[in-house]
Amino acid sequence: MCAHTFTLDDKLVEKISSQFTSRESMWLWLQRELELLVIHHADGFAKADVRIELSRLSQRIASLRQLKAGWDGQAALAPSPKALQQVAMVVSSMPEDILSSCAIFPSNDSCVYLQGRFPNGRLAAYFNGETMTYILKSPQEQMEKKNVAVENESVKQLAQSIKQYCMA
Amino acid sequence: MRSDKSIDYDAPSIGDKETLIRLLCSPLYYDEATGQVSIDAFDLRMLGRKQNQPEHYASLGREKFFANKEERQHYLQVGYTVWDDKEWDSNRYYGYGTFLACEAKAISSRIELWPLKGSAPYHIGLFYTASEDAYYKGPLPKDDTEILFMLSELAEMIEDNIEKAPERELLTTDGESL
Repeated sequence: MCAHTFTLDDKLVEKISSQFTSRESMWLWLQRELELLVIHHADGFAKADVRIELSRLSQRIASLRQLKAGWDGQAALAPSPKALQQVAMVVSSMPEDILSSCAIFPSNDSCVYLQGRFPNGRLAAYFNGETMTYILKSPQEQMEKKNVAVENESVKQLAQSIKQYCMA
Repeated sequence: MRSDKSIDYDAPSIGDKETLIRLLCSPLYYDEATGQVSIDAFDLRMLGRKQNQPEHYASLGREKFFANKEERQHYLQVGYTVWDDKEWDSNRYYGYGTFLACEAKAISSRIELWPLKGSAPYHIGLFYTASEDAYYKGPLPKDDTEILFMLSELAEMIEDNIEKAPERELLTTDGESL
């Protein structure tokens, strides 16, 4: 699948953003409305890349937002918005080749899982709305991290470890 | 001494080479795009609408007690009954995964398989030991990496042995096929 990139000029971005209370809400709306387009900022410009895998997982997150308590047929709690926000942040920072092996699942206790089945390893990550706990398994390395803050640096480190140990 | 009131300690134990079945009662337990089973598929849940009944064990079926295809098929229908009939939707029960008892036990020393009191012989429980004198009740603490690892290994164990659920049969109130 080809990835196409194009640039939205500043005037257009300004015109669109005037309809929203914040830039963040505008990007969220665009992601929802433009099925295959995922918007991100780079070098001060707004770019739209066709990211099929991110779109697939974003749609999954959107569908999990609709889950109600009792989704497992018993007394499961609905996924918490914070946990969904965390997993959305993580997947939006991951490259397509990693995401193509990833799946997102709800947990019965209101948390969310991000699981990866890579060519040479596995990821099991659990998001509780505050932190993430994950295990990365590969023949070369088994990495366990508990209660990690979900922020750019930790996500970057996770993506690097997946590439290094599970994609080689 | 660890014990649980659900366990039938007098019943014969489960053989290591027995094939066991885990029903995936929701499509949310399996991702067709990547072929992955959710870690939640083996977690202990909260039962009942008011969250007042923590699950003690994950329910499993024993292949060897199904004398024929019809009996097995009948057991596989249980996946449909987990759901409230009013909200019934044929897409909700995804299917089931099979594995050997020894595969599950090899994953963690916390895993125990026990026959259940007052239950049909084909229905057993997968218990998780919490300490020397207690089993876990649901849900398990997944921010404990040992628990997360154990549940993820159980999910991976059945990933390549997943079958789609059979078509739903209409049953009488006694569970007999119409």
